[in-house]
Amino acid sequence: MNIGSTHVISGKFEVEALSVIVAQVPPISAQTMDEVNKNIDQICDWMDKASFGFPGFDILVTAEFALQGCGPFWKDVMLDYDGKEFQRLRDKCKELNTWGIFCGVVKEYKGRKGCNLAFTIDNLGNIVQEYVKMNPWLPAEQTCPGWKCPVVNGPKGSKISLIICADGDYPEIWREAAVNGSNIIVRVAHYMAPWDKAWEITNKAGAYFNQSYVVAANCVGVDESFSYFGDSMILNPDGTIITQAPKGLPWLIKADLYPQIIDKMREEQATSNYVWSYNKRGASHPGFGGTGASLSEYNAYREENNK
Amino acid sequence: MIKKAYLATGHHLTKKMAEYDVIFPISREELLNKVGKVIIKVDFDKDVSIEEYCSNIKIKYFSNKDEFFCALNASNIFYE
Repeated sequence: MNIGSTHVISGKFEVEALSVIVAQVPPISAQTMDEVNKNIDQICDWMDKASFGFPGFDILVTAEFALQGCGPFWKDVMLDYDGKEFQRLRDKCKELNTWGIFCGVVKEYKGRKGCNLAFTIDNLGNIVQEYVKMNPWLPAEQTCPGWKCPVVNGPKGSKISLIICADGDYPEIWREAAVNGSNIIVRVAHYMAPWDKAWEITNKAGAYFNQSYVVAANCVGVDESFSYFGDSMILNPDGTIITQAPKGLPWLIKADLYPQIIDKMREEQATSNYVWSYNKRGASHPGFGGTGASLSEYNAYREENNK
Repeated sequence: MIKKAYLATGHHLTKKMAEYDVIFPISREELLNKVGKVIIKVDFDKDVSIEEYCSNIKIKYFSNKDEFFCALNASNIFYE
């Protein structure tokens, strides 16, 4: 599953198979809460399909804006964090004894107005992870930028982080997720034409540069403005695609991932260990003696250039 | 005539670390407790203990195998 390291990865270790589903759904561009609930009906229906098609699956991922669509009336259908819409998804996860990853724009989160919130629900129906989109798509999206990228311990040894759509166009958030310890980076998206090649390139790059599994869930359909092409995919840490949904069609894809392998790679890979070596530049030089040089010489990361 | 270099030292070292259950992360002390006395070939006509081969390493803890080999390589090259 991985091109791997020049040096052997030593030692025995246990792995578990994490059965991951991506539901590539076509949301209604909602103008009313009734339409939001129709979108949630659809998500619950796809979860039922997954339960029959892939019995015993561990986690299902849906796309950004799968609850509300991404039309011009998005402000009219913002959700309450503790409202009945989220509760329906919590109930569904509990009913199916499975984890789920969803995304919706909420009126307020942690005192900040208008947040594009991805969240993870465990198999007991608890929201166990929340992530506000760090990089809203500019200039169109008017949601509040996020401030942290937490990792949650999921089923079967998974350590999951969430990123959202345009986040993945910036290398920093992928790296942030990996540095925070995730072995699976989930990217939920509402990615549209003409950027289908960029979708694939950035997913592959995110996986490869950060030696992580990537689960990338996109929408399909056409709304008032854009065409959402699909191409949801699940990728290996070397950037190769394990499985991919087709363009333009509602679809379910499934892959078995082995999260502990990522943890082991980061301990035992003697090359291509980018999550460690990115800020240990030149660590093999005698003047740096294994510790290497930091990122402080990059203009891009100097505090004075980030104001 | 092309001078032939001895190339297998890293291979021997990796094999011995695997054989003696050196698993990262690990401290230098613990690593050497496990394999320090083991002899490896470092040139066509030279065998040394891993302890000796690693004697110039400056850091005391390796968070992963990459860090160990970086520290080792850094300790084994000298610029004029």
